[in-house]
Amino acid sequence: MSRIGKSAWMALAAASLAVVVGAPVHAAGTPSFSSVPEARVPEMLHPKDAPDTIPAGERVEGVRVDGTMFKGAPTFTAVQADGGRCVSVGAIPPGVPPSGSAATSIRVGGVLPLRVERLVERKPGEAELEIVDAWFDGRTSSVRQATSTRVPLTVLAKGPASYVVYGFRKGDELQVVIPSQDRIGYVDPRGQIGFTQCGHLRIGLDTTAKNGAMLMAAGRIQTKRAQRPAPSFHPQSQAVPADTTMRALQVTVSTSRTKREREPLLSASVGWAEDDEGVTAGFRNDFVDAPNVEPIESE
Amino acid sequence: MRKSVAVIGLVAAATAGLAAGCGSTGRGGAEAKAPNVGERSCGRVHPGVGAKPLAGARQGGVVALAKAGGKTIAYVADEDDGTIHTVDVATGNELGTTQLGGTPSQLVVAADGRVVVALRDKAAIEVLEPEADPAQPLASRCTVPTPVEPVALATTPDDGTLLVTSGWGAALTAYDVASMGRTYEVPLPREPRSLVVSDDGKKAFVAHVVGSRMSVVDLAAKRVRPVDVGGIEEGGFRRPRIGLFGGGEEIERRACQGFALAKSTDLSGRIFAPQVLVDPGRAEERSEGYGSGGMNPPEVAAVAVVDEDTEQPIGESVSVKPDVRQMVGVARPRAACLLPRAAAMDPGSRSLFVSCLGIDTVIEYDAAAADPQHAERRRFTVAAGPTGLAVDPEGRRLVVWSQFDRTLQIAPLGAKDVAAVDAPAIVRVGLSRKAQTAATADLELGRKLFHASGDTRISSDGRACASCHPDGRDDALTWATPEGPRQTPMLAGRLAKTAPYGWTGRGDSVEAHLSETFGRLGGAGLARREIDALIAFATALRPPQAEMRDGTNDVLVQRGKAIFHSTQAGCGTCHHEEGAWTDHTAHDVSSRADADVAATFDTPSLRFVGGTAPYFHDGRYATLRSLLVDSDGKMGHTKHLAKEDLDALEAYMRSL
Repeated sequence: MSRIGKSAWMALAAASLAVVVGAPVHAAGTPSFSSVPEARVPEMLHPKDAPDTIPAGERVEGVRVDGTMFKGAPTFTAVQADGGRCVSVGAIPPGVPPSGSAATSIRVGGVLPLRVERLVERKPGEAELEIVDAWFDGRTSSVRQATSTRVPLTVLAKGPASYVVYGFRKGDELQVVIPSQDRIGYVDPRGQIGFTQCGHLRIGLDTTAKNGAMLMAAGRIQTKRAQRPAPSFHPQSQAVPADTTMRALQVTVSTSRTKREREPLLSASVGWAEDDEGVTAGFRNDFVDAPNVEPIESE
Repeated sequence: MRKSVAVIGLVAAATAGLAAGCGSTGRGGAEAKAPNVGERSCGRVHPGVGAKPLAGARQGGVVALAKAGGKTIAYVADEDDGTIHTVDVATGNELGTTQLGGTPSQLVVAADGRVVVALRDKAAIEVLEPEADPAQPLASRCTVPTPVEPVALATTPDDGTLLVTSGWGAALTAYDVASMGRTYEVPLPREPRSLVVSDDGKKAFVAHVVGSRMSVVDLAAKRVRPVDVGGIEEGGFRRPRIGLFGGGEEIERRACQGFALAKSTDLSGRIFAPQVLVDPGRAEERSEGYGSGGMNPPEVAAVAVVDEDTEQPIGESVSVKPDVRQMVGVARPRAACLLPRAAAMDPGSRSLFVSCLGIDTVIEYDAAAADPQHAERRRFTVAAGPTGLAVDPEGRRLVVWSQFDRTLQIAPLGAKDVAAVDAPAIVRVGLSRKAQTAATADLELGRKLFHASGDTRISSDGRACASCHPDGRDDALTWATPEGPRQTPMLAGRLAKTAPYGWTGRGDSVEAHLSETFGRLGGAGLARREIDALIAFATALRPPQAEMRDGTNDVLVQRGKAIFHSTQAGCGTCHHEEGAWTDHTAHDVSSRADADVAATFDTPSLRFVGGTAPYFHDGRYATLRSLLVDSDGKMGHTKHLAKEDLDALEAYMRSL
């Protein structure tokens, strides 16, 4: 799609948004921090343990390696995660979400640790994090699985359209897992903004932080329209009647502690960030370059 | 007669419970004794009869709830009519009204059922007693003098002490609840408003409209500690600093609009202060409007969460963050709560409710969040001018009083976990009122326009007139403007006979200056009738206690007056008494700042100068005394004055 076309769509989408009034946010049963189960997430593999090489042909499910993508720079290899998985290769720098991203590029060199995460949601409210640690060899475009871990998740907040935010405790950290059907924009506890386009976002909140810690995220999820679409001046939107919409949702999770509180106070909430006049799914998919979304299961 | 009462009431209300200023002077409470004040016994004549307070309710408000038999009733302080309405919360029926001796700002129900009302314009509190039948008017028992302009009330956890904050009087005063005898008084910085008392009863937390602070008063030691509730914006972009490869910068934001406070025993140790964090821009740089411009909104809404024990805000709550919704293409921003006026906690759902003037909305926040401002649960529209809020935890109801539209709204709070609750079905009740006139209709329109935030006719960034002129006064800030730094002047009582307007005196009329102001704010402009109404309202803004003077230091004031008008000091050369303390002329007093385009400035009126620090067009003098001392030789002469003379001169100026 051309840039102009995308801009025009964005403008139309913006113009079609109605006033957000009374959009309820759900914060049912936010658990206390101490009641959130502790879970063990293995450290990433250490490069010193890496094999010298991995023969061509070894693969890990859901990870694609394309050594030909960077024709002008053959020293780089592209790694992509499929099926809502998120991938990280090499050490994860401070401030970068440990969940990884949908795709990354790696300078071809030695064998590096690779991690693939996937949020497995059996039904809203029942989920676990599947973590596969592996070795990646960019020279042979191959990946060898080393370990696989399943981390049980607990519900931090339930939102509209069966949307659930999960988490687990890791020492003094609250690890927050936010499902994504599309791109998620977020403001991390350091106040830095970022985006992720894989199946979930995982970020830790340091509950010992003196000033508190807060994570805000927003993304669009597919949901049924609650009301008839508003009349639009745009002929193409009228040509694509749809009873579903991509509606923006906001997630806020925070921890803070006053002097007299025995443990960090956990707050988690999920709510619509715009009213029902969001972007129609049909219209959006026709005109925007974006990954297809997988509808979440309903109860 | 009735017409004039209604007009005065409306304007008093506008300057009272509605919009006051972000400053730094502190002074004791000037007190003026109104007629019939302090001459009767305040005790109960019929002990045990009538309504009692809701359990645990000790914070005053514009709305106070009580239990009368099986009924929950709301006492509503009506500033426009000077009355208390008594309303059955379950049915919305108005049971009766009680005429007061002045303009009420807040009321509180004491443990024995007496209703204490702060009379803003009378420098007094009135104590009333309920009858057995809540439909009967409350019986006035006594009035007790307070420092000028009592604005907020609270009782201590032992129900033994009543605390009163006075806005213009800048003081916290304590009274023995049983006798209503004054026990002590503590001077506060400028423009105090709401207060809450700590769970142990040892400290009072006081919000300030200006000065980027909250005050913590040690009730035993009678000492005040300031709490900085200003904020930090990391990665902000001011217009002059945007470069091709430039990063953001850390911007310090000043807190304003601290009218309301709330606390809850359920979230023990957390005090909530709805406010606005302001970036007025750098005084040393010119800008395109008022503030730095660029990508940073000049004002952002915030809810500071202050730890009751450490007396410090939780950092996240005063940290300005990007709007995450815009990152996923939600282009239309939510209207921000730039004029928060009342707050209440629902302990059941851990919700904080804040009423917002201008956008006429009540917003429900998750009070457990580190930054409630970014944990909004829902919002709902209410009638214009929501100045009062109260939560009925038993009946699961929220009661909202909208002064501008004189409407009481009763909304169900929904389930305790807030889940699956849409905008509530609100019961709206128009309460009785005194006869209206065309004059009050114009003033009412003007009042709404003055407080219209999020109105693109006024400004392009959501600011209202009341943003910089809370209660018609000043925000104690110095803004970057296209002509250099400009300190916000007070409006109430300072518009009449003080033309020309603006620091350079370019505005021949209020309308001309208003037009320039709208232009700088990026507002599209108002219709003719609206402009007239806005000007009518602004010029009718009643100054604080204009008719009442502190008579305790007359000798000192007279001495100061002589010094003021002396040839040696020369103050009266430009500040003509007969010209509303100005000569209506621009002068060069060697005050040109680096960013100023001109060196001459219109002589400002000195009306109410004592309560409007900081001083000069760029706010360079933090106190009246520093102005008097440090401007010597540039604007009058004070070097020759002894300390006692300076005291006298200052006392005189504070009396203007």
